[in-house]
Amino acid sequence: MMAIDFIILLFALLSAWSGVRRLSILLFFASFFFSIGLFYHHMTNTIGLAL
Amino acid sequence: MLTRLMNLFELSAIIAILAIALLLQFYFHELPCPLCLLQRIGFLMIAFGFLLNLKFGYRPFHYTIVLLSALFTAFVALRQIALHVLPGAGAYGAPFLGLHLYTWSFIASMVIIIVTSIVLGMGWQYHARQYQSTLWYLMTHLLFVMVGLILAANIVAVIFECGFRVCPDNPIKYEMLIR
Repeated sequence: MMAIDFIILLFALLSAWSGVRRLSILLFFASFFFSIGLFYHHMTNTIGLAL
Repeated sequence: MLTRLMNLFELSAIIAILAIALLLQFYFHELPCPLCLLQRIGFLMIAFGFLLNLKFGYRPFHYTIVLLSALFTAFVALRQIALHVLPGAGAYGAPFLGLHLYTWSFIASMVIIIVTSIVLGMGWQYHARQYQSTLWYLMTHLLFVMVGLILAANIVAVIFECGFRVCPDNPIKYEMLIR
């Protein structure tokens, strides 16, 4: 799951590098919210819920 | 010029932090935990914001990306500090210059938040004609390559460590290498 997050961010970086600003920002926010989801999962995992 | 140097300085600091993290992983065989990996993603997202500034010119929204990412990184680092703050709870990984990496991560995130908030307020950067010399143009591409390589190295390392599943809380081996 974490690898997918990194890969989305890599695509964001590559699209920014090639000059596609809007797509890169969209991919950035996809990666950002995915990261928040993973953080939430690991936080709830500590108390045995793993949501 | 000042804002440009500040952007460059912050971006270089982030590249150094991520390079140290990779060095500790591959040279000293310290496997990153899920929260450590989330902090790495946070730093890479901060670097992405600065790269947008270098590529497309200075815009407040790019600094918003930096601040949101730095807040995320600080929050994850603080969560990890909270996990190990009680006496006897132990720590994750070896200390670096007297502090653990997650503590350094929290300090670095807070410094980035403070410095970026100051740079964000320098209004003249948005109105000034954003001239780019050839050297600056080449440097922007070089920085894109450096961040891209660090990101690619992290992707390979994460795939070897956890595959495409959720990473274990306390990793002790590369899942894809040792069965």
